[in-house]
Amino acid sequence: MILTIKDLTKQYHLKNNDITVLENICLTVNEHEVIAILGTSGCGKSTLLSIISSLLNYDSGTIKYKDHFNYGYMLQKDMLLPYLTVKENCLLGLRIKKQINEEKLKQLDDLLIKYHLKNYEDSYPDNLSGGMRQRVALIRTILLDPDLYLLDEPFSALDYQNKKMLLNDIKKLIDEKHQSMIIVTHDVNEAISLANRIIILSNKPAHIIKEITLDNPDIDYLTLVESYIKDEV
Amino acid sequence: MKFKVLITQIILVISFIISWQILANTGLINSFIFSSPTKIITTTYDLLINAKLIYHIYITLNETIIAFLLGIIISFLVSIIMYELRFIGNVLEPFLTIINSLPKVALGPMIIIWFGANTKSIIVMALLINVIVSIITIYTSFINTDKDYIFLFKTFNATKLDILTKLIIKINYPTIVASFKINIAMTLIGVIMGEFLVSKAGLGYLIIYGMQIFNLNIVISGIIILIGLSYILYYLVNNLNKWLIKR
Ligand SMILES: Nc1ncnc2c1ncn2[C@@H]1O[C@H](COP(=O)(O)OP(=O)(O)OP(=O)(O)O)[C@@H](O)[C@H]1O
Ligand SMILES: [Mg+2]
Repeated sequence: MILTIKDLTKQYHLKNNDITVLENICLTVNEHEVIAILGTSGCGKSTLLSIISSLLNYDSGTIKYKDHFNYGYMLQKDMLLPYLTVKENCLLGLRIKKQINEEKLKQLDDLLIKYHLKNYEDSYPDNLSGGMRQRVALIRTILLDPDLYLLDEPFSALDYQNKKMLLNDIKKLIDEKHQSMIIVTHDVNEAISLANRIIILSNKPAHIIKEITLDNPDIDYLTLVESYIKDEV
Repeated sequence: MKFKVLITQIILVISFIISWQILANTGLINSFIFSSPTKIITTTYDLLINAKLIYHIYITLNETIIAFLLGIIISFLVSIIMYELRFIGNVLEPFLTIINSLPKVALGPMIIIWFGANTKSIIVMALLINVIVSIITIYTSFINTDKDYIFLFKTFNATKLDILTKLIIKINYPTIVASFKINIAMTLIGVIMGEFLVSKAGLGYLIIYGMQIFNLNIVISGIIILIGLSYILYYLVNNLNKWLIKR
């Protein structure tokens, strides 16, 4: 078990009113498991990831983490620092955690080459396309070598082919290292091809409508998932 | 286009000076009150030889540089403190806004009583004017740093110091540098205001002195030199900015 969420409820407290965004969320993430989260825009997906990362607090419920829990969160926006080069942006997490070493630098080099960023390693993010920026943000996350990847609609700026390639890449990486991942996506096909489990959230306030474990190759999951989603637009 | 604008500007200035001279020579304006370009030149020359003009410029420049540098340091440090200790920031913010909208010259008499009729008062006056604006500028940009950047840093278990030095100061660096430009203009206003009130030397003093002995030539010479000085200072700071902002 990597983490267990029980009856999580989250409200944003605004000036005049409180809005509930998450309601009674229960979720367990196991070792070496990919979970895809589907839900309409504004339902609370990013909020959930931020709570898991302890960036936001919550109003009730509990979250239990495994010992030495280590996550890598790729935020919905790439959040590259404009005053750091591509290379330094990739290294930011390691630099702050004081974990830069030869091996990591070698891994960085390989990743830069693989993601066609080697020629840009000394450029600043302003000079990159949206897709390139997302790749930088991905490298920054991969270098942390986390037990749990949290990816919030990654590669939305990439074309279908590249997106597929990158996602397969991460999938392979996770398989090799027995890591886990929670990925937020709008793409049902993507969710089905990647995940072991799909969580479908309702409109705000989000609760879990359905949790589907993808373990039976005979089932047409696409139709199944879409049957749950179509009520929530 | 740029060239055309420049030529027009030069022509404008030259024709202003020429018509001023002609109006004065023909007696259409009273050159005792309005002076004239030639009188200004001779007065300036005279000031240079007999009245230690260079010394007055030096005094003003000196006060300006001290107040400018102190202003930068103080506003930077105060902004950091207000940012880091948000409680203090929240408490101080409305006071800053109130002080900012107060015409600082009104505080002149108080400053003189507290600090004496000397250079100290002039510097305090200038600081009062430049620091408040700079703090508001820098602090506002600190607290408006995109929250997601702070989130990102927190996902790396960044300390408060990491966030301050590796994020807040760096990402707001352009604003900090831009505040120097406002700062230099404000500083000069403060210094001249201070010199009007207390000083025994400096361009502000020279202008007031000219008025007291009703020598408008001195007043206008002083003003023109001041215009030149403020332009040079602005030019220098502006270039310093460009140089600092280049990475
Ligand atoms: N800081 C905040 N203060 C108040 N309300 C917020 C805040 N952040 C998000 N919300 C609200 O909470 C709800 C959930 O936001 P969240 O960003 O988690 O949605 P999301 O599911 O990630 O949406 P999207 O798919 O568009 O990224 C939204 O309705 C949003 O308006
Ligand atoms: Mg989101």
